[in-house]
Amino acid sequence: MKKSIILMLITLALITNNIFGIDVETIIKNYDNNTIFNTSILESTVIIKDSLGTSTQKIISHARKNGDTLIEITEGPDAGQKVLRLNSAIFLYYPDANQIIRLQGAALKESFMGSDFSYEDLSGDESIITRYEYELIKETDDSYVVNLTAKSRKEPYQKQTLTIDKDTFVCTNAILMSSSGRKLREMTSSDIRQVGNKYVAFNVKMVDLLKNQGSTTMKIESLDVDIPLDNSLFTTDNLSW
Amino acid sequence: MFKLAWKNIFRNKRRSLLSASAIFFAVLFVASMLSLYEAMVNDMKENTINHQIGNINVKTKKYIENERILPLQFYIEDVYEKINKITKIEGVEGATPVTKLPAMTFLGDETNNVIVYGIDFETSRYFDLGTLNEGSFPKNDKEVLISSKLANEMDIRTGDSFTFLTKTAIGGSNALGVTVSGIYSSNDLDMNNLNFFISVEQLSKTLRMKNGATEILVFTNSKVSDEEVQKVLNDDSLAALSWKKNTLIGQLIDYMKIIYGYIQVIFLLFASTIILNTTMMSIIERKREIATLVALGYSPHWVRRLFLLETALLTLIASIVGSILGGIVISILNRTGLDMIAMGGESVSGFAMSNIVYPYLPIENFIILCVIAILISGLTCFFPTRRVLKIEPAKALHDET
Repeated sequence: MKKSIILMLITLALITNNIFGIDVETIIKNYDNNTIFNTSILESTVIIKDSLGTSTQKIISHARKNGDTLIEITEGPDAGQKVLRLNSAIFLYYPDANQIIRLQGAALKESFMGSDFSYEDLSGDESIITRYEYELIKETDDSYVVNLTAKSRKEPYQKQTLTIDKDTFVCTNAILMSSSGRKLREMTSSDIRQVGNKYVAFNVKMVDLLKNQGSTTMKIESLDVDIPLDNSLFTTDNLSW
Repeated sequence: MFKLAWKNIFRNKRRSLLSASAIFFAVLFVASMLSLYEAMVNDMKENTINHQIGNINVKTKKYIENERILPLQFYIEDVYEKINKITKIEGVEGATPVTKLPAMTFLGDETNNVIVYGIDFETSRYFDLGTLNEGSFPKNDKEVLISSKLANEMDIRTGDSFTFLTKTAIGGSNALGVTVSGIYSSNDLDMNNLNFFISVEQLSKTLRMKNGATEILVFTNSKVSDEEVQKVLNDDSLAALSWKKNTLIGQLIDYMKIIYGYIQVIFLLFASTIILNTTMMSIIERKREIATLVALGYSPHWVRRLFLLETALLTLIASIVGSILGGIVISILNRTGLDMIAMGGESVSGFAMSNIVYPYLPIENFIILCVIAILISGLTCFFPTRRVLKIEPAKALHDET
């Protein structure tokens, strides 16, 4: 009898799950879980394709949970340049400049190294749940499609449509839009790998839809997460060292 | 007839003075306008050729197609190799590489949007008309020459340093720290904006160009055509265009000449209406005299020619006096210069105009002006003097008695 009741409950749970599916908040929480690390060190190759041809640069990026990020170009024509994101300001270090250059506000939407990524795309707080209203608009066999609407007008992308993989909760496609719904950028991810208890796309392609042609692919070569990082890394003084 | 015409001019001095002064003022005005026009057009032409485009301008075709978005990636590679080829053409006086683009300067927390010119200080003609207010021309690649307006805006002097940030030819950005070697102010209004000049080699490195520049300014005598330069370059990716085809000012100059010609004729026609009026008055008043001359055996056509000669003499005297006075005024202005900023010249910034222009008018233009004045006033009097032919001597003499 007990066995029958347990079996019935399991069957009911499975049926319920199949009928109602997972709720959108859980989807977003799982998605956020994959994107937020206490700390991370990421080495990657950035391949920029445009009307000129293809250029390749290697970068190393240090980041911590609050969104502070230090990116250094280690190989390529712009080697030696550094970008530090602290709160909502960007500090740029150029080896031949006399001073560190501070950008803020709209400058966060500017292209990073002429790529299709903006400074905002590569740095800052990745958490969706605190910054966006969300709505599940479609569910397929493999993925959830979620619409996001920014809570603050300061967000560079006021609307987003994310396609989130059902198994890994990694975003495989994102359409990044303005408040009017104009498509600004499209991101496609592949080569999903497990890092610790998280899943990360090791190949990310970004297309700036406002440009006529070209794309930028970021291939992650190594990713270390949740390792101790010196606080001094995230200071402007460190930039010129 | 000449003696009689000469005498008649002084018979009614007030009327002759009125006619003469109309022509005098018209000639004076037209001469002044023409001298200003000549000065402005030549000034704009000089500034356009020396500071903007050269007599012939060479760019890549792709750069020209996308010029509005400043496509730095379409620069001319190995620019000095091309310049060597161009300077071998007979009639080419020189060729210089230029890269011009917007940048942002940083000094502490202060920023400014500026235009940076990468030039070859030895071969460029930017500073022919420029005055070095202080300091010297850059002696090394990290030194820059800045406009006095930018110096004031940034509150910097010779020896001070700042950083500028710009996009690069590979699509990224780069910044360079530079030191001010000198401060200039130029007569060319466009050069006096928030600009600074740096060596083209250094700018090429900063912009990630391979020994390149976005354009070559070719200075030539008038015999060298853009087709010749194009042929010598032997490169389908490059386009050589003459300044006349390539600039609005170049295309407008010929039209402006025609418009000024019309204005000149309209003013003289306007002045001639006064002569027309006084001639008609004179014919009416001198009806009896005309009748007497005809009765004495002079043909009406002879009398008509007498009136036309009087007008021509009067116009000639007025034109010569107007030209002499105009010449004096123009030569004074030519020495002192005319302050275009005081006349609102800054509002036409972008037209390669100088802040001070020096009006002048070649002597042949004065001669042409006098001839045109005589022809127009003669033509204007042609119709009223027809009345002379219609005068019946017996009736005219009877009416007067």
